[in-house]
Amino acid sequence: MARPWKLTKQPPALVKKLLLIIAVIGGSYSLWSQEETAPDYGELTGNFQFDGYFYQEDSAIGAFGSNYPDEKFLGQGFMNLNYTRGNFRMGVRYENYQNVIQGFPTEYQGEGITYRYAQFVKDGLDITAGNFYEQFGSGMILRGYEERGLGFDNMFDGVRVKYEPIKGLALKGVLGRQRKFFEKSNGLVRGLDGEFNLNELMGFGGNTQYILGGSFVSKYEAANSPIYNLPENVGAGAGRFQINSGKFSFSGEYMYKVNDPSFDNGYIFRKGEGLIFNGTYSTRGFGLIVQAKRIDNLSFRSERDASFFAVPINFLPPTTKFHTYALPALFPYATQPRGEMGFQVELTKNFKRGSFLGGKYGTTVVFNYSVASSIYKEYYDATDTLNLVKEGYKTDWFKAGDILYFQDFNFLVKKKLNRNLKMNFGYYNITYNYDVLNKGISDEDIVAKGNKPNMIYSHTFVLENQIKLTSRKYLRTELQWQLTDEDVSQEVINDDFNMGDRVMLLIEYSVAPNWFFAIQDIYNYGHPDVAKRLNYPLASVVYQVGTTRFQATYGRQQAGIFCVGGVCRLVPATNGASLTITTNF
Amino acid sequence: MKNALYITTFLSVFALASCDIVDEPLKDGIGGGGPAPTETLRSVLIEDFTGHKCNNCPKAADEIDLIQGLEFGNRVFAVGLHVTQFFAGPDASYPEDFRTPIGNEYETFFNISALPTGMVSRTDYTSTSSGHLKNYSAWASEAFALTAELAKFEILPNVTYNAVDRTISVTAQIPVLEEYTGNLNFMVMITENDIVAPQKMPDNSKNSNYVHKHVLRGGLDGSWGKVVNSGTALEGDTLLYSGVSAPIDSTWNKDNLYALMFIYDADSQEIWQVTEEHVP
Repeated sequence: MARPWKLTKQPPALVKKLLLIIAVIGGSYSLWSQEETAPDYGELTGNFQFDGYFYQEDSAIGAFGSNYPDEKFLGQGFMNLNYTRGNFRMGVRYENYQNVIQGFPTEYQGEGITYRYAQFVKDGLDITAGNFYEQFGSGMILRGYEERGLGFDNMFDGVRVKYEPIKGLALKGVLGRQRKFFEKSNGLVRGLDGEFNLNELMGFGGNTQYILGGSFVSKYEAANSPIYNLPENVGAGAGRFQINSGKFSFSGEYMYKVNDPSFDNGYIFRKGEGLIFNGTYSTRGFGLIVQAKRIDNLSFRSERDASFFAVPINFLPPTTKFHTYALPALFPYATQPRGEMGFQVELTKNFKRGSFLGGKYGTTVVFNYSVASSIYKEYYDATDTLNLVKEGYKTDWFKAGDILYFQDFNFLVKKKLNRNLKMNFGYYNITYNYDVLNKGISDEDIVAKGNKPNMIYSHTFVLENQIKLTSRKYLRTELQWQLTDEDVSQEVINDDFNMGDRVMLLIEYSVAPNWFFAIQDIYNYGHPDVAKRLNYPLASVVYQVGTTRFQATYGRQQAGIFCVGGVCRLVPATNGASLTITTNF
Repeated sequence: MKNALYITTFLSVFALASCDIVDEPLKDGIGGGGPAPTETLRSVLIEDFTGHKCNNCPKAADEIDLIQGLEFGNRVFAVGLHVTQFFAGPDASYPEDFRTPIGNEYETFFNISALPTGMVSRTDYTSTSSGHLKNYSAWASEAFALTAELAKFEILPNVTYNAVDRTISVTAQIPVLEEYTGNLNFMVMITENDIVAPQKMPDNSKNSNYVHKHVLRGGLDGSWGKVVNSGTALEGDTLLYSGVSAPIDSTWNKDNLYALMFIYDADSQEIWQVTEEHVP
């Protein structure tokens, strides 16, 4: 965590001018303290990141032609500046994409100030004008957030008011337009959220905490369709609860959305519904997490014709585990907003030191199982145009769908063998519906084809060792081995690099606190297409000084294809060198 | 507690007031005839960026068919530009290569990154954003709005074909219906209809007998056409496109060829009028 630039001394003249400008822009709030001895000029904090990539042509992995950028070198980055004094806060972010690096949404083209806000907190009132991020409940009805690594940002530009009129009641209201890359959404978003802490509000519950919440979000977008009577105002409501009692925690949220025909749902006028439950139990040495979810037609964007990363209002939380090891991470899962039933359970057990399984230093075991499938859908006859457009299909909450999207069983054993050696061993068994998750094919099209989607079944074994060589020198190795069984067409084999058995070796050597070196290679020795049995070597060096980090990488990265809601984006293969600089202050 | 009640009431009123519940989703009279316009109205061009290995692209082609069947659909023209190596490059299963130098240039210029996508008369174009690229579900609304506008130009073309040397020639008169200041180019594209060739379908299967429509084959004056006006064109003026001749490829079916012609602003890229003629 960077130490903020605390201005307790007289600042240099240039900085003083800058702060004066900020104060004038920010309004009438007095920048200069009346105390002569210790003037408080506030705090200025920020961070900076630059990513540059120098590309090489590499026909073996498909990095040529239109997949090889004319610019040869692409770079992008950002800087955030935040100024805080007392109850007042303001900030800006500058972003540049000159030009956007491969694999990111190409809609990010150019440079400019993308984020600016002023915020004031007083008497329980918290007001933000300008850009802001916000979340109601689990985010199922509204969530503005950013994922820099993905190139995702759906922040709002408008006004947000938070108010706590009485203890135990928190209210939020938002009005704004969402960011759409370097533009803004055509649609307006209005939202209200209230959260009641019953213990504080009504004075009951003892050691058990009861929280209830409710949200309403509405979007407006003008409509001019020659085909449909489109709703211009689309509303959604959600109710939630949370109960915390000692070792137990249980929460849930239900969302309902009125007719919202869109590109995502194929312009059907069906209502949307979603229900999610989370339960946890934790005690010393033992943890249990259970999640269940049902989603039906719950894509919610401020533009009805938007797709991919553009202007989603809500976030549908996944009920699968995100893997950090490289090979199991090749088969990721994303919530399917058109419809999904999901379930996840995770059990963590620490075996104590000195026990039979704990040994001298203790052992941790994590088991995880998750599954996601379609919801039950009974389609209307093709001649029943009205119901096809109005409802699309019939469903039943208590019947499961026939299409398996994803299933993951995995476990990880963490063991310290001696003072200098830690070892992790993991196993990942993933069933991956290639058609749904890689090609974005709809349930209807899969059913029409006899419910025989292209499937990939994988078993991955991971062995990680962390060796302390000296007090400052560490060696970390990863050996990963993935065995796959593809039930796919010849066309998929021809198109896709991402299949077949492979093995990966990673060696990292670090000298604290400044240096870090790593080399890795993935060898896709079992690709069904012999021409795609390739090595993907990668080497990197990191130099860190204070809060500043320089990273240089050179090597190959695999191609992939990414589909959402019926539109596909190619994430091309790359070969080349990259440089990343990050710092904060 | 009373406050909480007030707030809940306010939330409920807000909720009810902010929803449009639609009982009749479809508009009446889809595909109906309607009265003939008495003034010259604007026609629009849908540039459909597509590829034979793009499984969702047939949905976009179907949308064009749907739009052209609507009341205003006779003033909606289309061209399919096969782009990107990944989706349009040939291989053993999809041996045809429908890519063209024009399509390749547009792919970069118009910042194409995902398929299917398209432009409706190139409205909202900027070099630094993608607002001009519309999902196919938006094409009908966009086209509907633009075709309701009065035309700024009319295109009176003369398309001829020389069977001896298999060349197409186009000239055109372009009456100015409303004063216009700007740099205007006139572009002629040659498209071919009803090409039977493999196409990846929405269920990811291959349809070997897919009928490709409006396939861009080439242009008479490169990718950007010929300048027909700089400065101000006054109402009542007539711009002239003197035209050139160009040979057609031996693999093209001459009987299915069309000359697609449009006038556009070379700076904003917006297409102001478009028409099409079957090659005689």
